[in-house]
Amino acid sequence: MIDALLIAPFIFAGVASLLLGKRSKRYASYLSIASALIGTLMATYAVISENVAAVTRYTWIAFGGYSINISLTDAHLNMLLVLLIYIIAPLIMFYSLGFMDKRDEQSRFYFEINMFAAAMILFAISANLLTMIVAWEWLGITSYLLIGFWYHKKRAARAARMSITIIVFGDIAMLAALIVLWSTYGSTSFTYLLSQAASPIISVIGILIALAIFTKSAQFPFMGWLAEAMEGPTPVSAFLHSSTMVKAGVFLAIVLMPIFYETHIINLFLLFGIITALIGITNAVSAKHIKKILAYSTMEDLGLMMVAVGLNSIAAAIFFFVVQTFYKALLFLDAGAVMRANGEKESIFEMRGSRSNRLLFATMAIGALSIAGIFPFSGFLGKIGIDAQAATNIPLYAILIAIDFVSSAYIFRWLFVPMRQTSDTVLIGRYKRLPKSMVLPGVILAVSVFAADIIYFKLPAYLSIASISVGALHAVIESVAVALGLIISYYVYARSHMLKRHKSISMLLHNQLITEALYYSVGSVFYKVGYAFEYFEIYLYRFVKIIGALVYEAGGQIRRSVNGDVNLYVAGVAIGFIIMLLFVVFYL
Amino acid sequence: MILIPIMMLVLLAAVVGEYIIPERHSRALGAIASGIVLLLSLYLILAFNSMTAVQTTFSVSYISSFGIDLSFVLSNISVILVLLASIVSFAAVIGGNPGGERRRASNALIMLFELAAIGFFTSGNLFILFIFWDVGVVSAFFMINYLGSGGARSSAKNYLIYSIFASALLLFGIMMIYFYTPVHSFNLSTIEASGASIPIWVQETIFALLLIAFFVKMPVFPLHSWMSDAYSDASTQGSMVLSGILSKFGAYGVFILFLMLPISHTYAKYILIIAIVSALYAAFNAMVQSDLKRMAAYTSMIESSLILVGIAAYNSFGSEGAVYGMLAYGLAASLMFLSVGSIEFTFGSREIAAIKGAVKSASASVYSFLIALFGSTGVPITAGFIADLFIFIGSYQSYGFVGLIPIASLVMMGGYLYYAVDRSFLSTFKHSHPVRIEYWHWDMGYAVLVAAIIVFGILPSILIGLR
Amino acid sequence: MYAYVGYLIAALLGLLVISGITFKFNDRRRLLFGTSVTIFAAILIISLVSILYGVDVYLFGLLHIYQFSLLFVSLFSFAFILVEILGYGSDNFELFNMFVGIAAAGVFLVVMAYSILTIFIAIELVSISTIMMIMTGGKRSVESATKLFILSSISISVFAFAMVLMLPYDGTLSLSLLSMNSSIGGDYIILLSMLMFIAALSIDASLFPFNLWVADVYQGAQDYVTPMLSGINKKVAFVALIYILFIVFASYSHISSVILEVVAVATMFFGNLVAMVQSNVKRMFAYSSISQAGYILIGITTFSAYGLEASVFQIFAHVFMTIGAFAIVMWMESKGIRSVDDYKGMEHRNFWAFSSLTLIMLSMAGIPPLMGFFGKFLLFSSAISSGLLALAFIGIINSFISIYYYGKLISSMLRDTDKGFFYLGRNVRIVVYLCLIAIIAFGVYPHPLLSVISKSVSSLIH
Repeated sequence: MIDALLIAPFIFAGVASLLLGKRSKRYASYLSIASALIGTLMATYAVISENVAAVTRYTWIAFGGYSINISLTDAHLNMLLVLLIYIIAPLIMFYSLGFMDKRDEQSRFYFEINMFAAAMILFAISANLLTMIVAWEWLGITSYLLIGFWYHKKRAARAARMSITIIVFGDIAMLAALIVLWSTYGSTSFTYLLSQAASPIISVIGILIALAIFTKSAQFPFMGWLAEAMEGPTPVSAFLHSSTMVKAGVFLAIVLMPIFYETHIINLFLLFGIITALIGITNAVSAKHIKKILAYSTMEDLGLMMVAVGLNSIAAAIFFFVVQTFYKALLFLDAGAVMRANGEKESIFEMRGSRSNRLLFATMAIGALSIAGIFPFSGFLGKIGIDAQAATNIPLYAILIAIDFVSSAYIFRWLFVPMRQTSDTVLIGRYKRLPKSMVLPGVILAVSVFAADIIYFKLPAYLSIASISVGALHAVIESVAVALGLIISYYVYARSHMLKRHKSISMLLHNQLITEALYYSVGSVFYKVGYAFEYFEIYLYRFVKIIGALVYEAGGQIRRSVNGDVNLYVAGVAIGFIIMLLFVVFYL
Repeated sequence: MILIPIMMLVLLAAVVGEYIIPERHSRALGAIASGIVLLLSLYLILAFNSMTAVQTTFSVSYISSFGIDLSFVLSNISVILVLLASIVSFAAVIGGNPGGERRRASNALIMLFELAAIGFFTSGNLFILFIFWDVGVVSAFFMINYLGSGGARSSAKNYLIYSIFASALLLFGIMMIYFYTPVHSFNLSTIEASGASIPIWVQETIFALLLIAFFVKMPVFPLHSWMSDAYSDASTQGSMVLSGILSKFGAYGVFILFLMLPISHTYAKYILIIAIVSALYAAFNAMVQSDLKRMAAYTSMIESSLILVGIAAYNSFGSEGAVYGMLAYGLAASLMFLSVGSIEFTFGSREIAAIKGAVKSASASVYSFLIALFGSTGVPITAGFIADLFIFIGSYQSYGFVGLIPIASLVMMGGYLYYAVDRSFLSTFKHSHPVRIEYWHWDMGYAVLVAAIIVFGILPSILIGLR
Repeated sequence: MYAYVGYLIAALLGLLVISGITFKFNDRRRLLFGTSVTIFAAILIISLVSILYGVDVYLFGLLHIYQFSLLFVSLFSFAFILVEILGYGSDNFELFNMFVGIAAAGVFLVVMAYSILTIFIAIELVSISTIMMIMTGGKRSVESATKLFILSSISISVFAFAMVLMLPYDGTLSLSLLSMNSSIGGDYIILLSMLMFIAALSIDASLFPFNLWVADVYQGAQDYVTPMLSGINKKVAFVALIYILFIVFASYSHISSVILEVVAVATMFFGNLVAMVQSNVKRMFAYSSISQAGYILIGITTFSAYGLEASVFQIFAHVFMTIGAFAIVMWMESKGIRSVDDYKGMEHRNFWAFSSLTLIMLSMAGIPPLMGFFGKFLLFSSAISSGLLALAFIGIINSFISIYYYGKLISSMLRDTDKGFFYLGRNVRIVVYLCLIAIIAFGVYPHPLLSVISKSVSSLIH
């Protein structure tokens, strides 16, 4: 029962915010924070109590001897995700208190973000594919609303459309998987699915689900929407990229890993994971938009998680999954604060003086150190886990180390460039006067980044999975690569202020444009076919018209022959009679 | 079931009443009458499972020399469709005529159409069925011709010609059924029982004739040429009713055709092919429309095709899905037309390029459009999801992966509709300014339809598994 | 005792003719009108009561008064009441009333005939009085009257020749099964005679290709005569055709059936296709009534009791529809509203006229629940039940084609206009009102009429 209750806080807060409407003032945000905190307590209890995994079934539709169930689980893995959501959610809500300071947007914002969170919780506790698809599609819809929250910005609307178009594709793939699964086995339960031996049908289901995962977790070739989604409000980006939405795909991949392993779809994850990670880092290196750099970083993280899945290592995937949550939320919240201080500028090269607010800068630095993977920050744990799994495959290992190096370089670029000195007292004043609610969540998250290290010790036992033993050699290699990235970045961006842009290289690196061109060409192919069909439609219409016109013309011909001449009428009588006569003669 | 004639009498009284009472009370009368019918149909749904066979049938002798009874039978399919008709009509009456133009005719025609729809869906014999079919056809013709805008005259003409062609074939088929059934009966249950004894060639002929007739109504490729014009040129309430109810005449017809003629199942696979072609054809056509209402029209054609997929599956899931689809898509399509119509009313245009930034000044309409969009693409907790699920489970069970092809049209539907939303409602490149103010009746219409879409999406058990 | 009914009707007819002629020289129109309508009403009531009591008498060896003929007596007496009401407003009502009396006598004699000779004389009576009626309409009508006169005289002469041909075979000329005189071999002469009967009656019944005159005459005739031409004269010819084909030439039905099938198809197509391209509403309705004749013929071609019922029902339906339609259309015509475009905005200008004309047209097009639908339903189903699938299908396709021109007119009436209210004469309104009641009542609940018809038909076909 507790699993169903876990959704309640968000639903309650969301509906209440909607009903408050224009009168909401700040009540909507207080309400959201309070209910999210209650949820946190519930989730903590659920994790600490370490109850045996039990599945609760509710019959949704009973039909012709079959029943289609909503089923929820409180298995440990699921509870872990719930806890992560509930750790991040109150912080996001709290941050929004300062961030969403426009009165008239409050009600809508809290409704949408609470619904989004509720969908994610439902996703986290779902024990069968049907329940999951309900949550999955609602994630898509609510993220559409959130990304397009500032629809009055043309790019926000476009970004929302781009994401939903890709996500609908995944939704429908998921629906197809559900249909095939249910029709074949009469059950959509994950435990049942996992107990099946590999078969062609299972492969098809696996491929379809993998497609859905790729769209939701922004894997190649569906990764284009992720960076564009930065047009949404910052709390949304932070939420979307840390514990929710994009993680849904990874989580599903982790849950269904045995199936993917048996059907060898796992190799697809490896391949596409690496491609995605590479695309992510190249873009991150070249991007200027402060949030987009982080978005590309998320792309890289997701790619790496897929690599972990592809290496069939649950532990590595989950470690990275957990630690990424904290530092990515932290960085996004800080990026929002920096943007706010700089008057909503977007390019890092137009920003300065992030050092003016020491607290903010400290949390930013911690986040950056963690994402780069420097010991003892928890990011180190995530990266090293994956590296260690790939150690047997030298080329893959090399690629991963290179990725570590580059990610270190770009994240310090992200840190150093806005750090530059400023003498603008207004700007410094703005940094100083940043709302507390926009800074404090960062502090809590910075602490969490450290605290997340405990997962290395606690998680394997909690989830009853094999832990990862990290060799000292891997740690050293990784640390050297990261340090190299830090040093280069420091000299290029912090010391020498080498801000010149190399266009030719940046075009190659910033291949987001190529992705968009790709989408555009796919879209235009569809539209061309559409226009061809429209031509056909017009000709079909004309064809029918022509038949009508022929009949009409026949009528016209006959009418012209009936011209009022009485001789003709008499002749008609005579001819008619003669024809009848002839007929009778020949008939007999 | 005495309630069915009572509903019809209430509506008939309202139709007459519209021309008696002062015009300013017209909408109130319509709302009361269709509200009563809505409540009764809700009662029917809730009480349906506890009714005995005697209670679900109403029959009085009508033309005894042909054995034609005035009989209304409430089946588990028709009770859902009656509900659909009453919801859509109610919403159309209260929200569908923003300008209040030709109020009398508008409300009277909706009421007449609702009467026809209820009669059609519940009629227990083919003769009565045909009568109500034609009444529906003609009242929809007036709705397009008299209340419509733009090229409404010629659209209405096209519609009428196609429809009467369908009626002609339907009538012919019905008469053939009567004379080739051994017991000479129009009674649906009798025909179902003795359908197998009709000679094969006659069955094939009847099947072809009736199928064409119903395909015209649904509409399904290649008999849909009337559709885009008629749907888009009809008035708001007209297109709501056309897409929400009238197209379900065809679907219900195919349904009973499958029940009547045993030969049908051998042709089910060809129907599936038609449905697939039709769905994709409509999807491709929809995506290039520049007129929001035409886009909605092609969207509803996709939905009709999906219903046909469910019927062609010829199994319990497919059939249930098709029935649920009629309800879900009917609600979604009429909501879509209502919101587009309201936006057209507010902005004076329905060209996608001309209604930029509508969300600012007509947010209720835009959000309703979005919900209609969700309902059409089958997002969970809208009724469309249940329909999609059942339809495709059914068609997969019957046809394997071929049966899943039309699912692609859902992806395309999502793609072009979201694109349209982006280009029109959200776009701020250049704001369009409303030429008229928002109108509070819409919100009630929206509320009714949205509530229905969501309630039947969350609680499908109300409707699924009716005996 | 039933014989008195026959005498009564005969007496009333005589009274009608005499009163018509006598009062011609009187100026009191109201009295004139009252007398005629009363007599028609009396005949109507008597015939209805007689049907219920199953009257079956022969009079003078020339008349046969039984259910089938009484059915038509009642129909036509009702129709004549409508025509009287229509004509009441006209300038030369006295003259019209006189001719109506004579025509009515002819009509009732045809439907009650027991001898081909009766039919011959009575049809002549009808034709002549109708021609005279049209002739009184002034210059414009003379051309129509002349055309009708020419065609009628051809019809009459062919009819006469047909009678002559069969006289040697069947000395009685009575309406009973042709009793073959075995002394004369071969039946070519009989067939020729039958064909001539068909041809002669086809002219009056406006069957293709004997019907080219119809539109001209309908258009030229006065506004109170055209409804009568289409509603009564044509139907009388059908009754005569039914008598001759069903009774006299019953044993040749296999030949006449084939001929009539072709004629029916041609008539339907001719009527509908030409009506489709007409822009003059009156001519459109003229051609539409031709196509209706084609439908009626479908039932006759089946040569079954069921088919005959269907035809009779459709005759009933078409009498109401055509009188109602022409009543409105002719009134419009007299007010200068002629073409389809002139009807623009009728909904706005006179809602009553619009809605009744629309209902009548929908009935003609065969839209339920109106009378025309049920008639067509009976006709096509009778064809199917006799195995004439193709004929039924062609009929249905024609009924589909007809929706084009009805729809065009309806659509035109719905269009916006800035013209003001349009007045519809009171007598027109009353006629249309009565027709509409019949169309709707018998359309929604055809059972009573249908049972009466089937009873009557079974009295014709034993």
